[in-house]
Amino acid sequence: MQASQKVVTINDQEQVVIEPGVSSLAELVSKFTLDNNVAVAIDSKIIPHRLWGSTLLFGDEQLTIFGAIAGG
Amino acid sequence: MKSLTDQQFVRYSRQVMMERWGEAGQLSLADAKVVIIGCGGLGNTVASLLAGAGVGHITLMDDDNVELSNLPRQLAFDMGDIANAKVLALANRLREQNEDIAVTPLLQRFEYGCASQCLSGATLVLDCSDNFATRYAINHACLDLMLPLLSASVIGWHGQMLLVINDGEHNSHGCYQCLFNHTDDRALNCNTAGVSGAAVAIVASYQANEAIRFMLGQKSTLSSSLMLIDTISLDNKKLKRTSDPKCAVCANKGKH
Repeated sequence: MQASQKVVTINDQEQVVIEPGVSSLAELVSKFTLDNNVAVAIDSKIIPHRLWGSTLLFGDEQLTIFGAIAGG
Repeated sequence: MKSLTDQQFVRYSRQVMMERWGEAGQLSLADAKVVIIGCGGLGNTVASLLAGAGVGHITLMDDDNVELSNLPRQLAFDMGDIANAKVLALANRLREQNEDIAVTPLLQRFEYGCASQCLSGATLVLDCSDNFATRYAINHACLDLMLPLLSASVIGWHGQMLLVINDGEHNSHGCYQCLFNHTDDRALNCNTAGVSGAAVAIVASYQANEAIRFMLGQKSTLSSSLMLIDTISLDNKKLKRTSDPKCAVCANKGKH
């Protein structure tokens, strides 16, 4: 990884390289999973699905991607 | 002024002696009415813990019958209950467990249309259901009726839980649908992904504990967050919730 590259960390493990200020949350999630049944938090704050397209990533964010579960 | 009987005082002594519980708290529980929607794994354990704690009025809703595959995690049921209605079997167990409390079984699936009748007078609604359609309907109904909702779910080794207060002041944290507005039938459930009975009991215990604390008037950080429960790593996470400004259910209600 080059020094100028920015990464986000997903679920405390996987690191993904992004273009700072250009990559949106929607783009990144679509690369990570095709599952629509997920929610995402940036730095422990959940971002409503409708706002993913307008939420830009700048690097160093900690993402939590998790699936909705219905079991009871 | 109401007070506990001598027998009640002995029965509930270990919780009444606790800080932030006391006799007044016990009397609050006796006056409270909870509606538990879903009498599967979560509903079984939650109902039993609330009945044991002395929650005075417990309404149970479910339209399923007991099956053999339920028994590992639905601990109120045994072989003699197979093919019987879950809601009736569980109601009987709760009455045996605590004669102080009133239990009302409703043998029906929750639907939005029945909400005003089924949820009437509830102090707290507990979502222990097993499908998204019901979860959305409960969320919508509680929002319209301004009833607090404590929602929990579990699959595999993992659980999720949130509290939606629905009093207008806390609505900036959004509702259930703000979190998950794209769920469909492909989302995991216990029938397709399996579930650990012990994990169910852990999540149900968290849910019952939060329910009791809510009825005792204690504040909960879950009113602004979603708890992710991981029974493998034992690292639970709390994620801050935010409302969806265009949420189809809650966008025009309360503060945003």
